[in-house]
Amino acid sequence: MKYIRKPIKLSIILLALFVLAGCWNSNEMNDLAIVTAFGVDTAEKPDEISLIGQIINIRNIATAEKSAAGGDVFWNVEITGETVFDALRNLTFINNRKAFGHHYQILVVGKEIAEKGVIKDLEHFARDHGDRRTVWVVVADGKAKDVLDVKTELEPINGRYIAQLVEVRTATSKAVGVTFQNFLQRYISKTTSTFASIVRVIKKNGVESLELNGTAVFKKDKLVGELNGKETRGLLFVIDDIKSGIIVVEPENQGKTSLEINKSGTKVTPKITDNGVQMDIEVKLKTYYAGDTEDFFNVTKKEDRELLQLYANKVVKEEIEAAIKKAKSLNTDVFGFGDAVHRKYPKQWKGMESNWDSIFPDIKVSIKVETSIDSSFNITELP
Amino acid sequence: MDIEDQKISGVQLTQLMICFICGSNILLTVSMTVAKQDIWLAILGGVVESLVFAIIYIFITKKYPNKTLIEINDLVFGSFLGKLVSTLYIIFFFLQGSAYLRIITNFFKSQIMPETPMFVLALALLIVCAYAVNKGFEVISRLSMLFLIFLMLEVAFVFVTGYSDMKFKNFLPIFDITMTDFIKSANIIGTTHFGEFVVFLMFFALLNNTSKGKNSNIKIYIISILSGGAILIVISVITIALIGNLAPIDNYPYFQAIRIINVRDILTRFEIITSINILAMVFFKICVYFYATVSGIRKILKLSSQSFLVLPIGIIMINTSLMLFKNPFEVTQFATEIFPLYGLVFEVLFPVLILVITQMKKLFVNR
Repeated sequence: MKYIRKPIKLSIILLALFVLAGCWNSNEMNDLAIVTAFGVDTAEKPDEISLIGQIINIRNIATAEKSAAGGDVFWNVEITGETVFDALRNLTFINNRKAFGHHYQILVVGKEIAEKGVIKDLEHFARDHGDRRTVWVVVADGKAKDVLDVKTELEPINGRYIAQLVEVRTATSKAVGVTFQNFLQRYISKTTSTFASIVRVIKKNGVESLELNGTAVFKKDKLVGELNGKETRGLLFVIDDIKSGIIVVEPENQGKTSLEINKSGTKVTPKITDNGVQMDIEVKLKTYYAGDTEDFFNVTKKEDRELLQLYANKVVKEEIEAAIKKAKSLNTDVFGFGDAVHRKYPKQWKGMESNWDSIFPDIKVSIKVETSIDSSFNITELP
Repeated sequence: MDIEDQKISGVQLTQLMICFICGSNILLTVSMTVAKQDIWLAILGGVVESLVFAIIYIFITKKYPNKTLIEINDLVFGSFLGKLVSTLYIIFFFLQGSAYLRIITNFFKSQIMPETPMFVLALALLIVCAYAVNKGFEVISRLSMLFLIFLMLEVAFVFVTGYSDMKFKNFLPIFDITMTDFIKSANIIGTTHFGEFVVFLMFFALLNNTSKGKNSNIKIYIISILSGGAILIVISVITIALIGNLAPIDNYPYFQAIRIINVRDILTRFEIITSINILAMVFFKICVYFYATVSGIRKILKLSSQSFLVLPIGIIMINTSLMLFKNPFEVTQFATEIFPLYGLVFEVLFPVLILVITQMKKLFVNR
């Protein structure tokens, strides 16, 4: 018995090697259609939707990196279906491989379908086990197909290019970066309105390129309006999502000069008074003096710093006011003021929740901005 | 030494009990749908409820330090009624084990391996469980320490890496649920996570002599409930802080929360580590129930050995787990609506009866 055991054990271990080495359903690289971007559009038939899957053409990637002359790196497959999932599976009619959506980075929503209401078409992406909610959601100004068709420089794969456009938004903070997770969270909240960046196709000398410009604002799941760059930054100041950006200040009788935002923090405190709801917004801003001016300010001097800080406060305040004005005119609570009131006044909130739409446009806002200039980079003063 | 006579120390039992609590983490979604962002309060409520349960168990284990639940039943209810109650308990343990096997199979089927047949998943796990049960209780409880450390490391790692994504204002306003919802969710946690401790009445007799001190059972119960509750609270805090109002609508909220952690595009997508942890914790849950079933049958039929029971019961367990529920929705419905009451019969009613009858017998004998 003692002598038999060892060989039996050994053979079991060896057999297990074969069984444990692979998964049940293996996905080989050459059997996959890796999708980098999904787009949703309205179809010609009113009760159908059109889905665009941007599939990486793996064969051409290696050649494209060597020379620009190679074939297309991505292939946009457009197909209609009664629902999104139906369309996704219909892809196999025209594409020989099943779409492998685990690594897509961006969801592009066509403007038309966004105006009709988009959550029914995006729900699948939240439900499917392979999809991640860290993908970016953007709204195309026009058809999603047009945006995804643009051939881009530096990064040949269009989907990745748009994702990177969204990622570098922090340089200006004049565009938002909304992940699908944020999008859903704002949608689920009963009063907060959700939003997403807008991607536009711009044509110059016959060459198409992409531009991230402005913010699409949704009421529930319907697109109702847009914020421009200035209003978008106002929105980002309120929701405390500013990473960096340039503030151009223009003191009276003097030229323009620029300050770079280094750090920003915002506190929003709701107050319920006799005259209704009031929001106190306090922004604390740390900036670097970046020059670019004809009237050289000497930021080593306190007076010059204070002058610049005063005007920077004004600029930020204007941006926030513009955002609030626009949001009020659209009656969309993009700032999450409703949730802020809910957090602070849970008891009073019960009466307010159902008629927040009539309360929101009459909210009073007091804005306090405090800017400090902390550095002047390499030089102190140009005489 | 015979497998059935293995002794364990108090520390090992405590570790196993903590793992046993964490095994229910996968069911956290059930109470989260009710309690929403106040889940941590509900867990506190559940801990308080389970401390009340623990008092009953502590008294029982103190009265009968060397007896398993089956033997206690015989002593208290008489040999016929006692056997009946014991049989009910064995069926309860068996069904719980099967239910947890189904729950973990559902999880793997829906989140990680959608095209693998459920039978294969259940079989793969149960073979390991059967091996562990065959090796004895000491092996299971020793193994628990390894995985407990692994779990704690993982939770700490998730907390550190996910900290920048956490929004603690998600918890406000505190106590935004109605009292009924609070009691309901606290009761779900009390009965599913902690109340299942009743199964350990089978194992307190296995404590070795050095651990059978005066108040060792009090210590074991209190420490394991409090530290298990602490782990649960940390996990629910991570979940709510990371995904906020999406947590109540997710099937596996903790798993979903970890999916969004992204440290500068370098550390991403480590939810699979979490899934291994979930699997390990449920493994202990199934093992404990499996062992309780097997040793219960051995005790009730007064068999000399139990290892030959492991395979047949394991096979029945797989099949039961696949037949018990038609779909995952029934599991959730069972956990929300049926178990909080059905479980109370075994977790509170019978133990209280045992205590009352013991005291009455004492009174009459003294007279």
